[in-house]
Amino acid sequence: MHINGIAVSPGFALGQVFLIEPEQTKLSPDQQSTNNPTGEILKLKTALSQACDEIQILVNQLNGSGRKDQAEIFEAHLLMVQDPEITDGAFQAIEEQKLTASAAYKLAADNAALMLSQLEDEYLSARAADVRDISQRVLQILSGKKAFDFTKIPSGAVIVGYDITPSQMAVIDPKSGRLRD
Amino acid sequence: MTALMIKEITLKLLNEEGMHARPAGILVKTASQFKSKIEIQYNGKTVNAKSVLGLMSLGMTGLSDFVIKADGSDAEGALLALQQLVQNKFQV
Repeated sequence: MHINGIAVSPGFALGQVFLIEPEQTKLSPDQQSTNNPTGEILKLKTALSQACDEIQILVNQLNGSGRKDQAEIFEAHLLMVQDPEITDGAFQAIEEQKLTASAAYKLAADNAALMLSQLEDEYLSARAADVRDISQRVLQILSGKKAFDFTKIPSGAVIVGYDITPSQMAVIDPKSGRLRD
Repeated sequence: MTALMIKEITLKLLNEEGMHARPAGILVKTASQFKSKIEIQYNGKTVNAKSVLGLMSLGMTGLSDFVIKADGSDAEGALLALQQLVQNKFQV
């Protein structure tokens, strides 16, 4: 089999291919609306605070292992998760459109990502990927499902995916290519 | 009476790369320390200075002139802190 793609890390590597499937963030119709907006607001608040905790742990780990550049990415994520542009939009969609926490957050985050992706400045439009990353994290927490377990990737594997998010990259040790404990 | 609380200043963005994530993040962290409602006006758009996404959405390039508006009891202190930040090219 022949796979063409963009190399994330330069060089040659020989190993077993490990495919990262894109995260499913589509919501079924019964996951879209609610008759308990107060409960959904509370749910979203709890999920946002959990997302902040997770990201803060990542920032500390990356700083601790001298990966300051990557730590900076997640410091930006920390602000994006709490950003009123997304959270106010999401809380409003829960109250006014009676959307569930997941549907409302997805709507608000998608809007923010779209807005960024349309900016002329290439650096800024690329930040849409960061918004999608934090959105995926929050939706994952809200779904109650466990996040993809990177420890399942065998050591020495060549990781292939449609899109590898900053959050996914952060758990891989760039020196050995191995996963960090 | 409340109208008297609104203060504004015009500043120039001195860092060359423009309003990227790092300066935007530093600005948000500083603005968030104040109770006042703080807004940034640039190129006909107004955004919340406590929103990193809002700030980035301005697409502000280096050396742009922009207005910071603060409304609240600590408006003066907020503008002073933000002015210092911008003039120091976000070196904290």
